[in-house]
Amino acid sequence: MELVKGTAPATEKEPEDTIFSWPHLFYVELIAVLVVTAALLFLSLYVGAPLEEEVGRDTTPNPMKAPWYFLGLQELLVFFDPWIAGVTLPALIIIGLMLIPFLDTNPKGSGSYTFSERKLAVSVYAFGLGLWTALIVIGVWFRGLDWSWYWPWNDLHVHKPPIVGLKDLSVIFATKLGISEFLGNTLSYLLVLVYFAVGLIIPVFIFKRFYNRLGIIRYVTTMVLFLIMAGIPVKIALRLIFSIKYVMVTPWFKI
Amino acid sequence: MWEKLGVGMFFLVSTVALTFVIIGLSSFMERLYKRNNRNNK
Repeated sequence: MELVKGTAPATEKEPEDTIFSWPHLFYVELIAVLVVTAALLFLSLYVGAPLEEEVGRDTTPNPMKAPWYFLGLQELLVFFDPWIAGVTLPALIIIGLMLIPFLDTNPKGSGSYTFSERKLAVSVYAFGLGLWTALIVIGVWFRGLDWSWYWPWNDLHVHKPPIVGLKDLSVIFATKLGISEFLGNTLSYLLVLVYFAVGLIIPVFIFKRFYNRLGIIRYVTTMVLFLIMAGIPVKIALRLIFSIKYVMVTPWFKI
Repeated sequence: MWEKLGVGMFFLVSTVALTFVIIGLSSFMERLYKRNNRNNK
């Protein structure tokens, strides 16, 4: 290891105020790794895995729950097409996370990514994580027989009546406004279009500096990803509260 | 109707609450980090 001349944009400190990552940081990290490994080892030795009863050839468990870390995904399947909930949305999450270094032009908080310096960025990330955690919490503690909703005070052994009366938004438009199903469908397309258009255009005028700093390509990518994320709880709430099955129905996909 | 409203509101409120919990944890860790940093100087 040697010292070379150069600048370090991540810190404004003088060299006298800094220390080498090797060995100072490395030792701390090594100790942390050893402690966590030892804790996991003892935990796995003394705490049994919560396995269910032995599998029977003639009975399928009801409800069939995935491991807890997949329950968010399983919960999404209630509200979206299988390939949207199981493939597209997880892929968008991974792609979105991978794109953060390319989309984020704010040099603040470099090296110590803290809330006080990056309020918006941390809040948006926390919202995504909060949403995912809420879906897991619901899947673990609020779903019972037939994947129905069970409050903690409901009897888990009694079947709940299946949810009836779910309607697509296009059908609701057609019946309430007395228009054809084609027009109702077009109206639902327009509504989704307006959601994205408003979400893309309004912030350009309100957060001009944000838009100018990012440039059009970064801005559109960031906002489209954000609007998709923000649209998920909206869609779920529409289904849970107003019994709207799908907001937009196309021959290829439904959302 | 009330059941549906309750379920929907529970989902929305728990999402917002968990978001604030995560932000709170982030702020707490920041404060801890800054305090440690000051003590080490």
